[in-house]
Amino acid sequence: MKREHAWRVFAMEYNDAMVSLKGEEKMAPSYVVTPLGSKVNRLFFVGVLTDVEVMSEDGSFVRAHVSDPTGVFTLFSGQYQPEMTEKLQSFDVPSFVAVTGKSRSYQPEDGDAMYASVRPEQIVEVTASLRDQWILETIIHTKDRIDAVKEASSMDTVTADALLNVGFYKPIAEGVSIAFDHYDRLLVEKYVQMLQDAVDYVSMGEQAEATTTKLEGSSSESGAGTEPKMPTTTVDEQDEEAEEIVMNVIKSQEGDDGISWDEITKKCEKEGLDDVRVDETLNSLMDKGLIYEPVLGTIKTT
Amino acid sequence: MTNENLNQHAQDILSRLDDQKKKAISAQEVAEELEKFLDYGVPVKQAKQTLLKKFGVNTSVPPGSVERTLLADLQPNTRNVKLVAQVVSINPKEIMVKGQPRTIFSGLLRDESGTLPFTAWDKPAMNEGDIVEIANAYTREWRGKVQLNFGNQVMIEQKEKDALPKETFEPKKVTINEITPLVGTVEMSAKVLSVEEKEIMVDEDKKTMFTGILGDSTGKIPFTAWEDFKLSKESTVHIKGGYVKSFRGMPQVNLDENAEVKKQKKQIKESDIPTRSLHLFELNNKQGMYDVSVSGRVIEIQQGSGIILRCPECNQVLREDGCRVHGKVDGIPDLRIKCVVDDGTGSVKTIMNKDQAERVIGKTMDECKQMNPEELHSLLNESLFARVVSMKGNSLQDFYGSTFLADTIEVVDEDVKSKVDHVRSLLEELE
Repeated sequence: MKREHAWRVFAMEYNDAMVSLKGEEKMAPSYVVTPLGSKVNRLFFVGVLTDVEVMSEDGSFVRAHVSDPTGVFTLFSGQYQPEMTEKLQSFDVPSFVAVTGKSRSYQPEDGDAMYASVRPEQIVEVTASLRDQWILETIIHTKDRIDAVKEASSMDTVTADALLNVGFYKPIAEGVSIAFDHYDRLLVEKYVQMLQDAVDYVSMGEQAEATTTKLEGSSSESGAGTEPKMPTTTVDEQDEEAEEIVMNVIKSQEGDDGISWDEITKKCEKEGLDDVRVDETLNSLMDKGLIYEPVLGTIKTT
Repeated sequence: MTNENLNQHAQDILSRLDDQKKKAISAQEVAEELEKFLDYGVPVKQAKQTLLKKFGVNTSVPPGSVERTLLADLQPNTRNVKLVAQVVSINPKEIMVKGQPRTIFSGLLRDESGTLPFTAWDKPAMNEGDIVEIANAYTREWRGKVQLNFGNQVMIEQKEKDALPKETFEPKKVTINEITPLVGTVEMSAKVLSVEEKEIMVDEDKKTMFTGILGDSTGKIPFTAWEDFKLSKESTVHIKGGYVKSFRGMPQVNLDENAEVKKQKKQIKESDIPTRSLHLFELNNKQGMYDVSVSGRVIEIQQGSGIILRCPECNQVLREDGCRVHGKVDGIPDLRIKCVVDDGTGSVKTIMNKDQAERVIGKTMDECKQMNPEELHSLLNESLFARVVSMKGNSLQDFYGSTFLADTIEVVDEDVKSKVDHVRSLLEELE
């Protein structure tokens, strides 16, 4: 059993994943396959730890969020990783952290949604500069996958060998060919925009750093529990609007037992919010304490 | 498979049946039965065996009736293997079986298709250079590779040189990047980058050998010479008939009395010999690699990093109850960092020694000894975790992946500003 390498993926791409592969054999590794063909068993990312929440009374199960400029990674650590579970609770929020972790996925029985999360193996506080380095590195890796998806779209049959032959790295060639087998269509425009925004985010941070004596760049200014803001002026308004829509959907449908994450996504899509936006908004509402998850995958207002 | 072939195989089967059975079944029927198996992708050989068994033929037949297999075509978990090959090398090896020492023999065979290592439980009746027919050997799979074994059923018969086609003995023309552990004998031009004379004991005899590094415009590779070819550093040589052996998965060129080594006029310039720079997934795909450069981020600092104690006798790291071999001893402190380096395409384990560790964390071992283990672990994380390291050295392959033996290792501080410009220009390609 070879050690699985750690993919560089942004939270948006990771959270968009709808496909998981489970090994048939005992101990066989399982993977989360993203729409750009990352076949993730392990991943490495650097972002802002925004909150750590104890989910069980005895403190043996915690959930944490780490935000990058495109979205939020959800981390779970439980009783089988007591050291990590304890360590997570020792961090100040917000702070810059680097995380090595294993991919996890959860599929509620009703509906075909899937939620990708991370079981952290390593987490260490780092500098803002390392966060920026990670963003730039991840842009390059993501761009390679976008290139491969584009190339594959023009092929009659997509195979790893065909992609290898035109010069893509083996892990990408394999991942993209698997993504083509499992996703109906692979759209790249959204991710091209995501990369553009991500590089802008780093430049803005650089400039901010140059004009202020604050060492941690712009993102720490957003304070505890919120996303680092994307460099767009209308973001705040859009956030508020999205939150209103999502809250209305939840309130009208939750009843006594809450409403499934799935259901919320479907209802909100009708209101013009895409799934990523809904996920982000739900996370942000949770951070604000307006909603909670009594059972994994089910939402209720507080 | 063509009908003609199918009928041929059916006839083969028929010819081995006894007369009574032969009357009861037609060639047509046998062919149909055979085809059924072939349709399911069963290899011909196995399909035939299965049918023979079905018709009541004892398939553990004398070796004469089994067809010869080429080394390159051998499949794992096959019994009754027959080969014709030359013995490239054969050496005794001491192993422990249920706590008892036992001598087994291992070596390398070659035929016109390539080379393959073998293991024999008893001394086989063959010597280096012999051409032999080997029957009743069997294969196993070991870490994804075919292993050839000689059990007590093995039969070995000496053959003449013409039992193998001429090209078997002709070395293959290669450049260094084309050398794999199974390439066999080679012909190549290379520059001698270093050479060192060593005296070793072979069966209580003193023997002189030479080891060093060869290089060409595609890379570098270690060599061992068992004869004095008067190799000198800086000279460019043409080698014909060196054979390739692997040591811990890393190929090496061996030069013995069968090799021809000549100085050549056309010099290879040292500046043309690259240290190959690789992505980490390329290491994970290949056998061990000599003198390559890689870089990636440290994504894990492993247990067993920091101050450790070594056995004064054997240098092994002590466990809580002392040395595995020498028991309770006064350990000698040492500093090391075991970490996983990952570039997003592949990962490799590496161990930094005391000098390398002192340099990357900016503290001496004595200063580290003053810290408690948690403090030291935090310092290691602070100095290394998530940072890019660039390394030059050799990689080894094992069951769990690659290990990198770094001659040099450096922490790279990336300049975000200049990288932003690079990334922007890359993204322009996407529009």
